Amino acid sequence: MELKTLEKLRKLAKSLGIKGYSKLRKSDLARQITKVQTKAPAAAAQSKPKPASAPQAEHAETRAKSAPRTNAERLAREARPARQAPRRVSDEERAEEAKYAVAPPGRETPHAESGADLGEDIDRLPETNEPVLRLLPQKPGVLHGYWVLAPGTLARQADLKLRLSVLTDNTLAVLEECAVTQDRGTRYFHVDETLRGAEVYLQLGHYDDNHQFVTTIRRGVARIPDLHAAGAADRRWWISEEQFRTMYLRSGGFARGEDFGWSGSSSS
Amino acid sequence: MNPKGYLALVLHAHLPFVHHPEHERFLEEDWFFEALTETYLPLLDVFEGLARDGVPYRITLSLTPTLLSMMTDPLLQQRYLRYLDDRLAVLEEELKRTAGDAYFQPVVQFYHEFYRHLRRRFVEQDRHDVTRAFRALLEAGHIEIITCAATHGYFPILAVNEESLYAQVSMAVRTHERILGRRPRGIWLAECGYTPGVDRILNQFGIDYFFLDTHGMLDADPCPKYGVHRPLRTPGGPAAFGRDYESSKQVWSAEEGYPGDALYRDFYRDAGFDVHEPYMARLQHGGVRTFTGLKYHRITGKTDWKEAYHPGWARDQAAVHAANFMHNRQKQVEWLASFFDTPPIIVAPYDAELFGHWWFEGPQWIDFLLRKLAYDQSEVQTITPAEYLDRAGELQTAAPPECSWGAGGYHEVWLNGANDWIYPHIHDAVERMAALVQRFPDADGVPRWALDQAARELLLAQSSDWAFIMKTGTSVEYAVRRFKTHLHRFERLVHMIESTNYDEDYLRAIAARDSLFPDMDYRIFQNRPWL
Repeated sequence: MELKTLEKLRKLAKSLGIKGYSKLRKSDLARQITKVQTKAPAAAAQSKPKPASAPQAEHAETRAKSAPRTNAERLAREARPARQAPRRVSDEERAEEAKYAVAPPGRETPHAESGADLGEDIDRLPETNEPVLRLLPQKPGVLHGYWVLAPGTLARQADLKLRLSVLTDNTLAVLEECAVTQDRGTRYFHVDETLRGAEVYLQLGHYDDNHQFVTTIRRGVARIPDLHAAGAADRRWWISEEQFRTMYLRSGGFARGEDFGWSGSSSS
Repeated sequence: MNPKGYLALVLHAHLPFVHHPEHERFLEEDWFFEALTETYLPLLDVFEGLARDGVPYRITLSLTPTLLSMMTDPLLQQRYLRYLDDRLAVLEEELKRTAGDAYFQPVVQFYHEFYRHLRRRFVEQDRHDVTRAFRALLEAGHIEIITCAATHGYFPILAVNEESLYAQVSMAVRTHERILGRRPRGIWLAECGYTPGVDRILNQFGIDYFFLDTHGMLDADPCPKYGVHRPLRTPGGPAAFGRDYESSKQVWSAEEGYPGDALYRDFYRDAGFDVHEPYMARLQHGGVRTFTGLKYHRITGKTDWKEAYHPGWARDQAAVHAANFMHNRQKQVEWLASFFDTPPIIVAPYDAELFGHWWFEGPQWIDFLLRKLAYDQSEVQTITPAEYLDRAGELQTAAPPECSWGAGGYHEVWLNGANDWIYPHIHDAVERMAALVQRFPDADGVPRWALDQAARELLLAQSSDWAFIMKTGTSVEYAVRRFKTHLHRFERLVHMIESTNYDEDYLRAIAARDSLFPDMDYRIFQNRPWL
């Protein structure tokens, strides 16, 4: 937000109803705007009842990632603090984070210098107009999907759905389905970890009159590999299985029956 | 006498490319200067001292292409000299201020001598280019230097476009060879990020081995018969070495690890915030206090009360900890050798900046450890992965799964609500770059210049550092701006190329800023090796 001109910040402050904004210095103004904007979504989230159905959606999230269309929209988006993933810091991370630290935690740090001297409007990110659908594994049990629709797709086909399915015996069994209401967006899918090794597909399309799913983004069917290769492995031991088990446990893994697993951070 | 087992110490040295000639002073360039001061130069002192004393030792170092590019950049070399001179000027004043202070004067004297030594070595010995010293150690056979993805791109997420992986590895090998004079035998995958298929691509570039985190190795299919204590042969060809958990924990762990000892230097207490004298303004950025690297306190305990740092006591403690580490490795090797029919290897990888920058006494610890391993025992011998492979014979073949060494062991650090917005842009940009390579297979002149610069911008946008910083919350604004800037420049260059309307002034300006990889060839963005 510090990259914005004072004039733009004042305009934003006015739209947010911040009093006395014209007398504030740039840094104070930026702080006030952030404060107001972080409070607003939090308050909205508290007062909004949770949907009664769609248990998967409780963990998943859908966010529109469309490029901002106006300066005000762009400013508002910039001013919003980035969504933070749950803070779980490994020891490696802590040491790596120190590489970028310029002040102790909680201290004011200088604002990043602007590179505006080349007339670069870096906030106007390039728009992707090619239809895209991708699925990426995040960790065992969680997948991340994103999509971009061709312009006008939603106008032509309003009842688009995002469908996550698992392939078993040449049949697709639907795990989760949700409506697509925006041109572009992302969603985290939480799937049962017992699906290790299964082929999971993400599709975007609609149901026709015969209740057949018709894919809209043909090249976007995405498949994820298994994150645990050893789940379906046949084991041939050189050292005894007991010795392997001991080594595995000493290395931070856990054993559940015949299966081995890995929990938490790689180092703690 | 043959050792019972081997220890491979692996230090991964990396920083993103930060180079801002458009500003007289730039805060984030200090990341590099701090690492030079506290990690890279002290490590060189240690390695050269060991070689000078005839101590037999082996250690592996990964120097990333972005780091090598910064080490050889004339502007950053000049600015580093200024960084040292600024601190020496402040320390002259600090010597006067603390005269008669029995607690803090010795620390100030220590820093004064420390910075004077670094300046002398940087100017007279390294002649401003520290890669010379690394190259000399490499040629003498003491250290093995391996490479890393060109801009530290995180492979499991970049793998959506195979062209990204080819480009990252191609530019890495090329830069390594240009600066260090030989092709790398090994690679450190950024963040230990692996996904099946990477092994095949590495093989095409002649890479012999890479590293996996412990679970990546133990979850391989079929199960590794020697756990992490012997490399695997991946289906694609290269060997995979697994990280040993026990030795890692002893150094990394915040609770059990050595760096948290009360006698060691405290990272967060810094004279930049403690000393309120006018001359300190020289080390500030835009009038705002920042870390100066002058840290006068020891960890002391878990409260905010910190006592004066005593370099001599800390050094003694580093020796104690080195002995403890060696003892544990001896016991570990004895235990493993009791049921192995081949000498086990313990692979202990760390971020190089852990030693010195985060754990100030880390380089001294390495010095003590390597000397003790050479003279105080005979069970464990240091080795490089390449040497181990040369002696190892046939390896078990197994397929590792996707994995990384980040929190949780997979991709959560680089793919979460704070940074997932960058990936649609990256994946789309790579598709466009690959299409341009197909469309212009033999560009020349200004179009070639623009295409090469577009490839540089795209590689820079792919640095895993931006996603990492966005997640951790330190310097987020800078990381976001860097990502957006490279994406914007890429977009503008693509527009120029497609419209054949070239803005050469703009091209010249960004080429001066994003100036790494002078031997860039845009055709690295295709799904086959381009060298």
